[in-house]
Amino acid sequence: MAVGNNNQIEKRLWDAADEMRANSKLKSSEYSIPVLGLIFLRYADQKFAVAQKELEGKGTGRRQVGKSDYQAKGVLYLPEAARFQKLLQKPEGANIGQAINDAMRAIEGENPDLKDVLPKTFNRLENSSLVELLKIMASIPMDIEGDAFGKIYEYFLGKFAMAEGQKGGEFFTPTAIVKLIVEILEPFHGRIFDPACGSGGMFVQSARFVETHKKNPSAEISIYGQERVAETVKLCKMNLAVHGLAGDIRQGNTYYEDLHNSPGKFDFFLANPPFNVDRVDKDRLKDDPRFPFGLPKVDNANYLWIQIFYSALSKNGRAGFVMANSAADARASELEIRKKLIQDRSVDVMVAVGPNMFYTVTLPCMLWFLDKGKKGTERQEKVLFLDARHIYRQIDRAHRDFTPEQIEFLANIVRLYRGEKPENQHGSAKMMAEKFPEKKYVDVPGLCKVATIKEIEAQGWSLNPGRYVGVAEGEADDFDFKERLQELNEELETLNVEARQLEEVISINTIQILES
Amino acid sequence: MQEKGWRSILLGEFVTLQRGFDITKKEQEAGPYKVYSSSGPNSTHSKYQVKGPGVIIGRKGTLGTAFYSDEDFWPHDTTLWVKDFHGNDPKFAYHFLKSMRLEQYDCGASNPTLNRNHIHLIPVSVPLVPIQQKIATILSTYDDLIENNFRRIKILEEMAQTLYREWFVKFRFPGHQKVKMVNSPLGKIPEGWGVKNLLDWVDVKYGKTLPKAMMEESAPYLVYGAAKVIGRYKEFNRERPTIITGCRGSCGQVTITRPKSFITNNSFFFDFDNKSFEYGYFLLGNRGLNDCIGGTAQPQITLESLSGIQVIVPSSTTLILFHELCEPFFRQMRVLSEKNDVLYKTRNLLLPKLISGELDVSELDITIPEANA
Repeated sequence: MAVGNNNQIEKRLWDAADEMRANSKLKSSEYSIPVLGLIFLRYADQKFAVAQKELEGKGTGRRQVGKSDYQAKGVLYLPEAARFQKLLQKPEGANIGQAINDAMRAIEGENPDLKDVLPKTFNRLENSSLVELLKIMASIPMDIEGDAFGKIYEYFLGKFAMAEGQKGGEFFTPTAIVKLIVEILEPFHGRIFDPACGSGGMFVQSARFVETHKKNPSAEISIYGQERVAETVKLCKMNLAVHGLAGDIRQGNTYYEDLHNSPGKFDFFLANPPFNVDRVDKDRLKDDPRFPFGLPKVDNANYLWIQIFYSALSKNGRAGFVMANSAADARASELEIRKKLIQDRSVDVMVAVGPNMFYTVTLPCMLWFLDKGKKGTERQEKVLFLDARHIYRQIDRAHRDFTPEQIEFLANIVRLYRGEKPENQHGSAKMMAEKFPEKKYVDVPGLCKVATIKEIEAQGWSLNPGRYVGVAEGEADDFDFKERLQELNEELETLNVEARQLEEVISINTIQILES
Repeated sequence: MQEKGWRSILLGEFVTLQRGFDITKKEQEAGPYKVYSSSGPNSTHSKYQVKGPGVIIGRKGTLGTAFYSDEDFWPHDTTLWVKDFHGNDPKFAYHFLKSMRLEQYDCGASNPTLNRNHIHLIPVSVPLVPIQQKIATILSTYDDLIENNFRRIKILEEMAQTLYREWFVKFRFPGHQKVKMVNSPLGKIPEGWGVKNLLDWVDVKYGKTLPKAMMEESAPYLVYGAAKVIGRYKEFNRERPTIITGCRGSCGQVTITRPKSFITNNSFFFDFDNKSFEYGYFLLGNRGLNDCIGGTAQPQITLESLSGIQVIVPSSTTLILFHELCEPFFRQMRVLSEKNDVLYKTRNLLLPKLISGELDVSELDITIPEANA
C-alpha cells in the first residue's frame, strides 16, 4: 500500500478510477475485473513497445521480425488491434467496448496461455466511461521501471478487495503478511504450490523474493496453484502475466479435488486458506492420501487444510500458511492431529500476528511454518515461537501492516534460529542490535522463545506463541486485560462472519419457501 | 393424505433408541467429552460411549427434550440415544424427535419416565432422506443463528464487563497515571471521584401492580415480574431500557429490560441517567444486592434495606467516556436478542409444517451454507 512514500502513481490512478465508478451505476464487483484487464493491457503494451524499439531494424530482407522474436524476449505479442494507442485513437462515437473486447480476443488468439482468461465484458460499461478509463491508464508514465505495473495491479486488487468487503477477501491476502511468509520460508528454488491461491499474491511475492536475491525467478521456481472461484483464477493468471511469470493454475474445490496430485510433490507451500469453514462433506474425503493423520471430528476445515499443506511437501519441503488463531489450541480430535504433526518433527516456526492486518476482518491470525527437512538437524526437537502482535505500523484507524524493516527483523529472528546470516536490505540492523546484541539467537520475553517438544507436550500440545513467549517487562499489568479483550474480540469476529453467512442463507431459503 | 416421498412407519423403524449409560457425578473426570443427561450436556468426562453425530432425548426426570451432538459423547442413564438411524439424516431425526412432544408418553409413577419399547411403536410419517436433509438444513440454520446470537450477546457483555473491571475495579482508566489515589469510606479511590449513598445518587422506584388476569399473550409489550419476563400487556410503563432487580420472591438478580416494557411492583427500577446507565448496570451486577435481602415469609428487598448502600461515583469525564464506549455494545446486545425473538417465532412457525410435510420442500433448491475453498 502506498503510505506517504513515493509510489503515488497508483494512488492517483485509483482515485481517478474510483471517482469514475462513483459516478457510474456500477457495483465495485462489476467494475473491478474490466479495470484490472485494462491495467493488464496497458502493461502488455508498454513491454511490447520497448521490445519493438529494440527489435527495430533487426529484420533482414529474408526474415521479418515476428512473433517468436517477441516471445524470445519474454514479451506478449500484441497484434495491431490490441495496441493501446489504437484504442485511444478511436473516433468519437465508435464502439469502444467492442473494440476492447476484440483487442482482448486478439491477444488470446496470439497467446494460447491466456485463452479464456482476459475479460471480454467491456461493452457492459458505457462508452464514455471506457474512454475516460483508457485515458487514466494512458496517463501512467512510460518510463516507470521494474515492476511498477505489477505494483499498480496489486494496489488495485487490494483496493477492490477493500471495496467489495467480505467477498473481496477471497482473492486478497495483505501484501505485508505474504511478504513475511515468503521471507521466513525463503523459497529460493523449486516447485511452489498454493491450493487456495486467490489472485496469486503468494506467487508474485515469492518471485520477488528470488529476484531480490539476484536470481531469475522464471528459472528458479515453478508455480502451481488451485482456486475455487473461476473469476479469481482469471485474475490470478492476469496477475502472473503482468509480473512476467508463468504458472499452472487450475480451477477446482480443493477439499474434494487435488488437481495437481499434490502429495509429496512440492518444495514450497504457501497459502492463506479460508478460516473455520464448516460443512465440508467428510464422507468424500475418506481414504484421501492428503489426510495422513485422520479427519477431524468437528465441523471445521482448519485441520483439513493443515494436512493438505503437510502432505503436499516433498522430503525436505517447507510450508508457510495463515491460520485462524483457534487452530493452535483446538481440542479433542484436532488436538490429536496437531500432536501427530508435532511428533513428526515437522512444525518449525509459529508466528502470532495481531488484529487489523486484513482488509475485511479485524481478526488476528497465526502463521504456521512446517519444515520436513528439519529432522536430523539441530532444530529437530525444537519449535520457534514468535509473538509479533506488538509489531505493526498503523495505516489508518482500522488497518495495520508491517514495514519492510519489521518484516526483515522478524525474518531475521528465524534466520538466527536456523543458524543463517541475518539480512539488512531494509534497515533492520538497529532493531536486531537492540534485541540480539550478540548476533546469536536468544529467547526474548514478549518476542520469541525456542521451546522443546517436551515443553510443548507440557503445554498440552498448544502451538500458541502467547503461551511460551511470555510478556516483556513493564507490560505485565496490561497483559491480562488486553489479552482477554483480544480473545473475546476474536471470538466475536468469527461469530459475526458466521452470522452474516447464516443470515444470507435464511433469507434465500425464506424467499424460496414463500414463492413455492 | 400421504405426500409424495413420505412413508408411514413406526418410530422404531425410523430410529432405534437405546438407554444411556450409568455414571455418577463422582465417577466423572472432566475431559473432552460431553455427558448428556435428560436436561442437556451438563458435565464432561474423559471417556465417551457413543460416536458422533448422535441424538439424545430425555428419558427420566425431564421428558420431551432432544439434543444433537456432532462430537463423540456419553449419554447418561436418564436419556435414550439413537443407536441406529436406519440411514436417516441425524439432524432431521433430532428435529423430528424434538417436535414429537414425547412428554405425553410419560409412563412413570412418580418420576416422569419414557419407555423406549412404548415409543418405538408410535406411528410416524417421515420423508425420504433428500427431503429430510432439506428440512434439517432449513431448521438448523435458524438454530445455528440463534445460538450464534446468544453467544455474541454473552461475549459482548463480557467485553464491556472486562472494560468495567479494568477501569473501575483496578482503576486503570484512561489517564489514571496522572491521578492521585485518595482515601474514601470504600478504600482508596482516584482523586475527583466520590462515594455516595446509592439512593442519593439514583432514583429507585417500585413498578406498578398488574394482576395476572390483565395480561394477554398477544399483547405487544413485555411484562417484568421479579426481574423476569412473566407475560405481555397492552401498555408499557417504561419507555427506555431499564435496570431492574427483583424485590419480592426471587431477589437481587440485576437485569436490563427491553425498551417499552411494563415493570410490576415485584421489581425495583433504577433510574440511572444516560451517561451512568452502563456503569450502573455493572456496578449493581458486580456488587450484588444479596446483603439487602430480608423478609420472613418470602425473601424481599425493601427501599429501606437499600438505603445503607454506598457506591463509588467516578468523575463525570470517565463516566461519559465509558458510556460512549459501551453504549454500542448494549445496543447490539438488544438488537441480537430481539432478532432471536423473531428467529424463534419463524422457526416455530415453520417446524410443524415442515416436519409434517404440509409445506412441501421437495422441489425447492435449498441453499446449504456451503463449504468454500
